[in-house]
Amino acid sequence: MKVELKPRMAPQRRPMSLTLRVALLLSAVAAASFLAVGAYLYHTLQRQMAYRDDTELIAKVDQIRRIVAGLPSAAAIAQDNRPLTDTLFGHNDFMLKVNAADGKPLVQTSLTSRPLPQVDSVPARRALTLDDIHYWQPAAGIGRMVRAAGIAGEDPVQITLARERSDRLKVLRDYSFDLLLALCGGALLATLLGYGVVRHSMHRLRTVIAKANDINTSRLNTRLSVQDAPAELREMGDAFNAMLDRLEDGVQRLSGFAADLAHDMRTPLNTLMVETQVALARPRTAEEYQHLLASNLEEYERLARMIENTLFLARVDNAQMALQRETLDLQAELQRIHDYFDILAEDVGVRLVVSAEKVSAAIDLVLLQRAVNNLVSNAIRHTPAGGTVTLSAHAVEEGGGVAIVVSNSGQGIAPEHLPHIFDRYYRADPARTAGAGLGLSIVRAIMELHGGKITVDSQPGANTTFTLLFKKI
Amino acid sequence: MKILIVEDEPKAGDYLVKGLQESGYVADLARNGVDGLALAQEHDYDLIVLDVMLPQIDGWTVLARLRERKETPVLFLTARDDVADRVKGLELGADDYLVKPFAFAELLARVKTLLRRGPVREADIVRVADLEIDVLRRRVTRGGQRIDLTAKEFALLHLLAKRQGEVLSRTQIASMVWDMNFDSDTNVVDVAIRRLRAKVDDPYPLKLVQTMRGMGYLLEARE
Repeated sequence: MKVELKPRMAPQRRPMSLTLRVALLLSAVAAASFLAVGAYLYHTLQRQMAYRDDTELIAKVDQIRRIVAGLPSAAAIAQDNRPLTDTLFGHNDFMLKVNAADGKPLVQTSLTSRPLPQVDSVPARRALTLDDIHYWQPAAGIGRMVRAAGIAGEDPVQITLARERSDRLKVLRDYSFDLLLALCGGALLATLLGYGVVRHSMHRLRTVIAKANDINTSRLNTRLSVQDAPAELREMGDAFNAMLDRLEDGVQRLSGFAADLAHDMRTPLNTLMVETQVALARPRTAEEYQHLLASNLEEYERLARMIENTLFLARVDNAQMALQRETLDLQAELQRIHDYFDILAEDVGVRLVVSAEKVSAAIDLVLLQRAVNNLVSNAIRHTPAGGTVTLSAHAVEEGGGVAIVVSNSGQGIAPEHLPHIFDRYYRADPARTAGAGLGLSIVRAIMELHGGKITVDSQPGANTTFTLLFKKI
Repeated sequence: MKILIVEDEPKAGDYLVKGLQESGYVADLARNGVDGLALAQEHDYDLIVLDVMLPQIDGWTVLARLRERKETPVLFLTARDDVADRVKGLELGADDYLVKPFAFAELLARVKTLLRRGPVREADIVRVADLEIDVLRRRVTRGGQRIDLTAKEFALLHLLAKRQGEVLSRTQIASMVWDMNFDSDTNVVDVAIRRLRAKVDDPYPLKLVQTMRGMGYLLEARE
């Protein structure tokens, strides 16, 4: 007994359930999109805030420039700096410094937490734009600054205005915290909802599984109901049902086959048992015992042939049969088969004729002999005395194969039997005992092994023709 | 000629011994692989008939162990008609094989072939009682009277005459005369024998072609 061992696999983690997988995927997608939207909102806010701060800074500098321009000289600024410091009233995060052309400080409101960077000054004639605002790093928060020239009377002055926004950072941090909270909540909600939805959809699948679990060889007629199922499941259900159809057909044929075999074995076994029992019931002569044994032997041979044929078909079914193709001269092979059957045909008054073209094909010799023998012996058996059995071979134009034709005159096969004659154990005449009803199944099996086919054509009362078609290899 | 039979199935072992003894051989029987191997190594047999399915150690092992020391011809018997099985047996050094169920005549024929040392030159003229077959001229006479035979009838008669006294099964005859190498349930051979008899036996009082019912045919002068 050959036992195929499955390769032992390394212990593997069980894959995650589909429901969980889809739910996790949903939450990941939700989290990613929330994150993207959050980041966008955060940056928009940040930009908006910076824009507002910078325009305010520009407005203040414009105002200071105007005030300075209204004064007679740089000295006037130092004398009374109130008009300038008033512009910053209520904004104690501003720092204003006005220097004279020689660098002498005229106004200084407060000191910045860190020294300001040296940046270019905007000329007095040019209006300020957002590009003139510079970034600087105070001790905490964000710093913006601008340096511009102004003119007091005739004196040029340098105006430096800086701002430290520690509150801005806090606003942004709070905002991002809120965003993150909303994001987590949203992702969690999406996960839970997704899990619920997928679980609900999977419920259908579970009913399918329950149905499938319900199926065994004695209840193969169960089918999944797929009409109201979602499209994807319907496809799977259809495939599943088609598989069940094939399985049911196979199992039915197999069990029918086994039953037929057992049934067929009963007849010779019964003969053996009863005949032997009768013989043993009283003393017999040596000749009678000899007769019994010889008769038994015939039944044994019948049984052995039955088993051999069944094994042959089983082997073909399991594709365990290796073909030994060789290039055969079909004319010569048919002539050989003719020579074998000729005396038998002559004995029953049937003419056996060979009319073969000179064709050759790559076929397994023993199997070819077996197939043609089965057909010819059937044909001779069913041809009335005076009839003819014709054996022929010819090339087939379509596909370039060859055909072997066995035809006989006679009653023909009734149309109702025609579709079944290749079935195992099928007998057109139930009372006929010759042969086990496997002959034509074996011929068909041999043709299938060769990738060819067998066809039959028969009209009641006319010729019956079997054609073996071998494809070109 | 001494033959060792290694077979665990009691009935099979007994009939093999009986059949071979009645065919003129000395036959010993071992009922398991261990005994079989011991006997085979101890004695010099001319042939060993070895069943593959054996208790304790199987036929393959017996064969492999035997081949370490001896070249005794081995005919193995198997119930499994697998190509792989046959190849395995022949690779291990078996000389021939038979698949169960087999005809006893077939077994006997294989045994004879294996025991025959070297090729035997076929006789040009074969005689059975007053029947004479001239193989070269393809001429058959009986009691000096010429008998006309067809080519196949001649081949059939020649086969039976060459193996006179030996039962040939229908399958063997179909294979050797018509080259039909499978077991067929047609009665072609029976018809051919009947026709041969009509020409060779019917006109003469001494019948030569004998029927062994259920087994086959043989050519023999029976008083």
